Amino acid sequence: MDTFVQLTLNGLTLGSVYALIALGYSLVYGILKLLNFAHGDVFMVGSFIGFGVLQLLGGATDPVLPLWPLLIVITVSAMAGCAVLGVVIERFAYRPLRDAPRIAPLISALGVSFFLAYSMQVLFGAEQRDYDAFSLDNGKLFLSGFDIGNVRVPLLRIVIIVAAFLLMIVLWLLVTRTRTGKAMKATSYDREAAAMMGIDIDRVIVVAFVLGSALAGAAGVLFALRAPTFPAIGFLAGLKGFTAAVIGGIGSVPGAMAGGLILGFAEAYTQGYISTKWSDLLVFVILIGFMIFRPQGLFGRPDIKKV
Amino acid sequence: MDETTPLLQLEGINTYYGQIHILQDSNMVIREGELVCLLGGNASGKSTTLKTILGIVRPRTGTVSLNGEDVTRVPTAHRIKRGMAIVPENRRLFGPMTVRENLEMGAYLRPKADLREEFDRVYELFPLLYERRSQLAGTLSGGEQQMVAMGRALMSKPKLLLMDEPSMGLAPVLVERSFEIIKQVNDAGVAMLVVEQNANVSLSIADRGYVLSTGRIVLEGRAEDLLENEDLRKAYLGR
Amino acid sequence: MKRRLAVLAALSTLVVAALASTAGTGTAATDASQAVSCSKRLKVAMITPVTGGGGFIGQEQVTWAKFAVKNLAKKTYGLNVQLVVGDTPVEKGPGEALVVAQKFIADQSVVAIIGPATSGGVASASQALAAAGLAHISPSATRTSLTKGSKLEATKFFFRVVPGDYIQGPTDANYMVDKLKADKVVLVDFQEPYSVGLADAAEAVLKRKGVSTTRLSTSVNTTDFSSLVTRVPSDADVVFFPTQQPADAQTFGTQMREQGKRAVMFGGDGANSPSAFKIPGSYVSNFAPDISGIPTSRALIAGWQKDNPSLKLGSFGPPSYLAVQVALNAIKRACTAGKGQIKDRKDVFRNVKRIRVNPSILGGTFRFSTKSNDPLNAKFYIFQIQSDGSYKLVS
Ligand SMILES: Nc1ncnc2c1ncn2[C@@H]1O[C@H](COP(=O)(O)OP(=O)(O)O)[C@@H](O)[C@H]1O
Ligand SMILES: [Mg+2]
Repeated sequence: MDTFVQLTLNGLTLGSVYALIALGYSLVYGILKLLNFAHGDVFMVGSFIGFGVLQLLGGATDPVLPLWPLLIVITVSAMAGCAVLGVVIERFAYRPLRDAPRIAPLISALGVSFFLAYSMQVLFGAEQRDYDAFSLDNGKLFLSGFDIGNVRVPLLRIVIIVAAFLLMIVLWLLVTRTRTGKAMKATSYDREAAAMMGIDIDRVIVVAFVLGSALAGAAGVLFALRAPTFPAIGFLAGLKGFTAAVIGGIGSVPGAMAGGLILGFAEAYTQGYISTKWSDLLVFVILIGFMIFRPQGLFGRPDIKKV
Repeated sequence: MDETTPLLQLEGINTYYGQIHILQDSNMVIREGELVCLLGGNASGKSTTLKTILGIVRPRTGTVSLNGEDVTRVPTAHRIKRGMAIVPENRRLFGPMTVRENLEMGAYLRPKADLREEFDRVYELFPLLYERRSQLAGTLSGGEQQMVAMGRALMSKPKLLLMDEPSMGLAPVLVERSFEIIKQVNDAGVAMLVVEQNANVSLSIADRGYVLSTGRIVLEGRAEDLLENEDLRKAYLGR
Repeated sequence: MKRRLAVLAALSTLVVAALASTAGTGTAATDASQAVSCSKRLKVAMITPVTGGGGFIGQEQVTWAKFAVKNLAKKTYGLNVQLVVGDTPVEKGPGEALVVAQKFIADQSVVAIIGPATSGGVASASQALAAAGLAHISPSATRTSLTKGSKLEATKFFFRVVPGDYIQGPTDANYMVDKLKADKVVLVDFQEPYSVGLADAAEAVLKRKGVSTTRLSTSVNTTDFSSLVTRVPSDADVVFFPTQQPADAQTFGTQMREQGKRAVMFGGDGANSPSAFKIPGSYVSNFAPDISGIPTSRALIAGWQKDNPSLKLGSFGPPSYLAVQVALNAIKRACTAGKGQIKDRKDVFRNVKRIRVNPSILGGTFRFSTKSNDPLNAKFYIFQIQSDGSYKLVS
């Protein structure tokens, strides 16, 4: 039982990070019908921005800010930095190819992905970067918390899960309640009809990149608070986010959230009950399985006909 | 001839899709409050004309003027702000969004404060839409969808309403109802450019008409004159 | 049909072998023809990562190699030697060592190589260096198969002054059993040769000694180990995680504390980095000792510190001093035998194996084993992480 609770907690932690990544994939895919392969690398850059800002603020062993402001500052800087990065990527790698055959932006996306991964490697080296969050407040983030049975739910996990869910709720409200959010939905359904309503398509696309990239930046920090990051991590993170988006139905915002959690649980239970060896392979199997047998995902409608 | 500046004027419009020359030297005038219909066979360039007017596509040469102001290089959003709206071909509703949200998209450029008033106006015109406001647009019947499309266009309070084949895919009774509404809206002072393949019905309510054939305006005139026109009859019978 | 294929295969192997051997003698011949005078300036070339992710290792090594040349070349051996460094960032892959090696091979004044630093680098460059007759002495490449086993990955021109992993795994395992009295050990590998090899070697010894073992394995890109940690039995005594990324050992350790697991973390030489792996009470092994406690090395440490006042003494550097010392000694002997000339770089190589260093900077007498180009009686050293973050030698 304890094992189950612990694995569920592990899955929830991972899954909320995956969900944040998946949302960015889905937002951009929904509107541009583009698989933004560079998205995982934006996540990576976010985790590095967080690392850099943390060092600027004195590092985990000797920070100049108290714990909570510190966490907020590094997360917000990563989100802001990634939002800018997302806009730049869209402007220079995708917009010029808006009307090109669909393979062109896909190749451009791969190019951006490699560019980000390798330039980070050249600039900062390939080695792992550890936030060393354990050193903050003498391990408070890891050691304090509440218990479920014999399982400790540490503060950091609560922070990650709550932050991820808050961000998802904010996104959900933005997309469903605001005019811009509704314009995004309209654009993703029928771009030309949206333009005929006076919706500025370029702006909607930029907003999608800003939101998606900011979430990826937050995910990067939340992930790296628990586990080291490195320039090549973007590929796997992107693959997981993409798989989560496909599970939920790519283009669907609630689907991305659910897909992320499902993938997190699948990974944790596989590692905990079956084998630690196969969990990354499992991601590919799930991805391929969905692509073949249920390409619209769990929550996607089998493409309602345009009316 | 009317001396006032026309609401809309196209002068020497040439529109291309890539290398394909679609609209060839189009000239067109619509005055305030007028109901004009644009006739033509399949692929003759009717929709392209509307898209050119709205700025969805840009002409290679020629000018589009709104109230005497050259808007050829002005983006769609600005043209809509200055009083244009469209009911697109096949309606193009946002299927997974509610009726209310569809209408809201029509008022995308209106200040939030005016929204209430616009909703009231449209719901008054189409009481059924009020009942259906929370339903997904994609689940409505064809007639209801046509109402949503018109309501959506009216949400921006246009002075000129472009309608692309409003009768397409509708049952005959609904076509009739649809033209009644068009007339009603026009009577309220909204100028209209109605694209139709169904020449008889549209000309019977229109003030004037233009006839397009492979991108060229081949005929124009008062509606009643066109209804009598032998060439037009032939063209349509020949098809 | 099968037979014909077999014959064909045999024939083609012969042809390839013949071509290879002529190619080999060809280069050797041209190299040998150019003798260099020992009164001129000779070069010793170092192949190691000084930039990129592994840069911290190479930079430490270079400071010690420079210090060795400065301290020994003129004074002890009467040689005019310049140290040149070829950078092989780990990000460029092991093949970069070969690229750099080619450059040094072409330079006739290069008479010995220190490195390549990484085992992968040795495997990629050893053939080419051997063809040029260049001895290459590594201060840090520990992969077992470079000197031992049926599938040798390096040539006989390769030497190392530190022991191979065939000693590390058992050393670590023995320490767990004898000193830590471990009954239950969890071994984690990363599905790549270094960690699998070390985990295998340690696990074999542990099993033989009746220790109950659990083996976990994960992809090398994993950095969140939560669910592996969940699998660590709560009564496990030790987790042996031979990762090459110190941050991974740190993460595994903190995640164990997070989940209330009491097992002690034990890393290999790859986890040896006081700035990244710093959980008090954990252990790491290394191929070199902390030389600060060796009386005969004290003067050397002081000399090095004078040249590098801002650096802290680590354990990756001193073996480079020893490697340079061995190389200079061999060059000197070659010069003497050649009457002031090195007729062939192979002459240096022939002398390497005979070198003895007493006292060695690493303690005791250094000499090569007669069976392989490994140091005789070399040991791996085990350090325990102290509460102030320092590494204390415990074996
Ligand atoms: N986006 C487009 N790209 C290329 N060709 C187009 C495009 N849209 C329409 N066309 C072509 O332009 C011509 C006119 O189309 P359209 O204006 O839609 O005609 P209509 O509305 O009169 O049926 C047709 O031949 C059509 O195939
Ligand atoms: Mg049309």
